[in-house]
Amino acid sequence: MAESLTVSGVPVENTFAEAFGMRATRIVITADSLRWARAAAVAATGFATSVIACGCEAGIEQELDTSQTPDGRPGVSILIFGMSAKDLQKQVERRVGQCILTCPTTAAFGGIARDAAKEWLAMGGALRYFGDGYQISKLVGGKRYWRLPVMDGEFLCEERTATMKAIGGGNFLILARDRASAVAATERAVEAMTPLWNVILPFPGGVVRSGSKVGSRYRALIASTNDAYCPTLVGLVKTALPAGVNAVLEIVIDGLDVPSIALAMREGIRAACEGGEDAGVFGITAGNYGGKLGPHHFRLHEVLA
Amino acid sequence: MSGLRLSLRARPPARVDGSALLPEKLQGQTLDAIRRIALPGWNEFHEVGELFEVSGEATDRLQIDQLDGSFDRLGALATAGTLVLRGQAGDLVGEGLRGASIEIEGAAGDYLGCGMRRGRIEVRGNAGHFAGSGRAGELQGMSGGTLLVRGDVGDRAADRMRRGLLLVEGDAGDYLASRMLAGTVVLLGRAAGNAGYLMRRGTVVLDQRPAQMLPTFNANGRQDLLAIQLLLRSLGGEGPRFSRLAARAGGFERWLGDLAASGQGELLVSF
Amino acid sequence: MLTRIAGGRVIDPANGVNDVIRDLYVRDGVIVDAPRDGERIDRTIDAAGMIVMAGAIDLHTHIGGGKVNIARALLPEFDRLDPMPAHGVCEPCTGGAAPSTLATGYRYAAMGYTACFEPAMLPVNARQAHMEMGDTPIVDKGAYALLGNDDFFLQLLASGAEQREIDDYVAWTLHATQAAGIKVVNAGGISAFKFNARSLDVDGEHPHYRVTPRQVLGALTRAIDGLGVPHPLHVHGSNLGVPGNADSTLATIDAAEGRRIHLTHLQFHSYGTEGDRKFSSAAQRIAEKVNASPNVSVDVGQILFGQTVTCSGDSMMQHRNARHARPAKWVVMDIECDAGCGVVPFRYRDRDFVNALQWAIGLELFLLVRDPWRVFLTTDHPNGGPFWSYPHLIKLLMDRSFRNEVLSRLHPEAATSSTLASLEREYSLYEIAIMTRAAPARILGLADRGHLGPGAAADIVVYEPHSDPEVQFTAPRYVFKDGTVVAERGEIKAVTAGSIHVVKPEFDRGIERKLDDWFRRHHTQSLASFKISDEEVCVCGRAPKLVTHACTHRG
Ligand SMILES: [Zn+2]
Repeated sequence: MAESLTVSGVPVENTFAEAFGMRATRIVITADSLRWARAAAVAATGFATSVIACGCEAGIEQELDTSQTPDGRPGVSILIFGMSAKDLQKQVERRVGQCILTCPTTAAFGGIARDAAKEWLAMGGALRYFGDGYQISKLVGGKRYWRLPVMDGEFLCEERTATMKAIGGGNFLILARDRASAVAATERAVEAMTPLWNVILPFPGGVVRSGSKVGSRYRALIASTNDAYCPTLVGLVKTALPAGVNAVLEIVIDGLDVPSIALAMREGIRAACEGGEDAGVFGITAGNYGGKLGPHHFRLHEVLA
Repeated sequence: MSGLRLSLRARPPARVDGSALLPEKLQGQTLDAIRRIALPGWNEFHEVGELFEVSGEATDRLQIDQLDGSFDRLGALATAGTLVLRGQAGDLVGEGLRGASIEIEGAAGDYLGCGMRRGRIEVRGNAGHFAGSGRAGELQGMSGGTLLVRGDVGDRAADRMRRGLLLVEGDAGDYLASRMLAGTVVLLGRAAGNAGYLMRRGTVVLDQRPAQMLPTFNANGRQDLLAIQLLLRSLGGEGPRFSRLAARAGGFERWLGDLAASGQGELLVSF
Repeated sequence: MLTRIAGGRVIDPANGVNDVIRDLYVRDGVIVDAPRDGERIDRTIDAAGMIVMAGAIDLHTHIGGGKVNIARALLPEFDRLDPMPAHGVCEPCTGGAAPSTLATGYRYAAMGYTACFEPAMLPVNARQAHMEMGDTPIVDKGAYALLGNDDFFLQLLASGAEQREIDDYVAWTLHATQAAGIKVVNAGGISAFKFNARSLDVDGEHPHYRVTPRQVLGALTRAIDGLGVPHPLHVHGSNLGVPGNADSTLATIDAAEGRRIHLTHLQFHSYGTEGDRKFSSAAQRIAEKVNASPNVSVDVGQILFGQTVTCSGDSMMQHRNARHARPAKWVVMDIECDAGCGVVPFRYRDRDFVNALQWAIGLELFLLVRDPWRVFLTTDHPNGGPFWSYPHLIKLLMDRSFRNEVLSRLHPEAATSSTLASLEREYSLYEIAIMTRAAPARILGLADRGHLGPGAAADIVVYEPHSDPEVQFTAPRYVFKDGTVVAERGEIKAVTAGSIHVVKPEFDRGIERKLDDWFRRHHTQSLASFKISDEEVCVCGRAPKLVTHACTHRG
């Protein structure tokens, strides 16, 4: 492995992103038009940036055309990540119940292939009681669906959705000259990662500015701001910022498998570095906890190799 | 053609229980051993070799030719393999089927696929009464799998049906889906009287207006339901007549009943 | 023709014979004395080393009368699982939870049973019951007529009629229905059910007639004794199956006031309410009372695990049990406004606490009631289990280690909630012969059955001894019915027709005037067509012989 690596002239630190095992499920939301599928997907994946405070991490994976959905309507696939199947069950029930069931014309389907399934989560099977006895179960092509009478007709919801093993916490940090360059770099990165399957970027717009470290001077908090990367603390704390870096942004990636996350990191880093130092991007690094906490280590140099 | 082949050469004196003739049971046996299998008749046993010309090799595929309707329970309780029946299959073909595939290149008698749980039965011709139902005393009829009849079915098809799919290209006799508990029936031809009599739940799709609509069904208006679209789309592989039904737009006239039972069933009628 | 059954080990408790090697002689269907020297013996059956007993008698088995037919109609799926193809002399038929008449006859005979008594013949159904029993081959039959819930009886009692009038009505019923005894089911309760009562304890008042089950039991036991009917009043007690019903059972015994009484399927009536689950064995308490009451005889109604169907005239209790029906279908119906009927299929499960304890309670009763002359081997077929599980039941009684081994496989609390594991008693072959032959014949007044003395009908069973009693009793080497070998090693060899056993006590026919009027006003048929004549019962019951047993006045 080379000691130093640059992408478009931007130095990439020889470090790794430390990621964790999670459970994930994919739900395919369809609707009469993409507008409503998207509306349900946005709501269902809202407030899902970090598993600790939100209960899950979720995001839109892909928009689907009529040939890609089970019912031939336009749709959106979303991924939801949790620490366990049990946690996910709670989240799926709430999010499908409050954000898809409620949204006009939509239907919800499980989106994990049967052979990848680890555990099964009740989806329609949990929501069916909303039908107050008028729900109808229907077996089509070996899958069970529930039909709940609602005010625009019926909400069709597959009985269950599968979980599979997944990974949360793939990441990289963009060290930039200033805030404007940092934001521009993340926007390029997010755009490059959007077409990719099997991954989501759970933070707002795919980007997080509040990088954190473990622990806090306040006992009640288990994490706090990553002071080493805060430009306003340069001179006060032991900083990690090279000279000239005045803004840092992070992109966090949750994915269904290692290659999908690695691919997303590569595409994201390459897009972020486009234009090189002239675009104000001075370095790429990644967040980790010394390698002791997470089983998955995405070494930046390997990812980019 | 691979597999074992039995060709009927002598009409048995009375009805014979053919349930021992399962591909999964015969597989791997020698032709001589198969010839010596005794099938129970009315008051006597008949050896397979007396009744049939036996040829081929016993694999997971068994074909029985020249059937004359005197063999009952062919394919009963089969779990695996393929059974091809040519001619007139008797009663109770595929009774309690648990997973195999039965192809009938001819017609079937009464109680076709009654109590079947899994697997697939396809009949090129007509089927008798009680197709996809349950035998006397059973609390439920067919409870899974697919039963496809290209011709007509007799009375009481899908009686007490619990789960699964009954597809009929031709017409149905009286009391189609009577006492149905759940499951799906799709009928491309016309249903005679009393379709859905005392059905509690389940879906009956009728591509033609039935001869009579029971007074205990209430009109639910025209409905274009995603679940039904999904269902019909899934039948695309069952032949052009089913794909045509899936392709038609605009939904169905929906009737809810039988209100004399719990009234949670639906009859969907093309208009 | 003279047949000799040579050299068998004869067990004949009625004549005090216990395992004595001797020859038996049969001529014209009857056991005879040893012939004089030189007399020709036409046939000798070598029974050396084998055990010879009289044909077994089941004094409580539901083999006829409407409810069994209803059960058959309700559960054809179990028939299909138990086909009996045509075989030898046997016609094709089916067994199942409610076996066909043919299967009933064949299986009883193959097992060495030669007489069966239907315990619940509704008088209004008597004709059908006799026809159905007539369709049951080989074995002898008899039936107990049901009284005590019929309106004629209840209004007699309510109006304070003299005992003599009740006696006459009881006797008239025995004649009219061609019965061998009288049974009362949930005394007054079946009638009370129709007046919306859902339980009626021994001293509870019938909501309409204002009489109590105790009064019903008193009047009927007095009538049976007064008329000299050999079989005591056959009593299916109050509160069948209800936890805590042991109190009702003890009260029922007291209601007999020392007169003869037979408590049937006692297992279902021996429940306490102790323990966390409020269900416990009261077998010890009940058995002590039975042991101390020489006027009482019992049959157990043992349950055995598996699918069965409960058939009872007790519509009150069957209505209560209907929610336990497996498969989930049942029939509770009125019969001609004069009786009830409940058919509830049921599956006894060995991992179920209640069922496992019921099993243990039945065996406790068998082992704790000391006198084998007063406790009879029944499963209340088909209620507790099919009669063809008797060999298994005999093994449970004869083999303690087998019994405890089965117990250890059941729901664990069955062992801790009963005393069964500690009971050491093992029945001897002699005791089995008493409880299945000599004692039932004696309690039914069958002078010519259940023993091997000269003059007895040649209903004889020859067993090959086997270390496993279940094997021994399942398929005896020979079964003779009236001298004909009807079964060998479990296979039917000849299909004969059994006799009908009845009693005909004397009575004052004046009762018919009152009855005639009652029939005119309340029945669907006339008194004349209600009665079944001797000729008719033999024709419709396909019986070569009507055997009338003597009544000896005991009042
Ligand atoms: Zn009984």
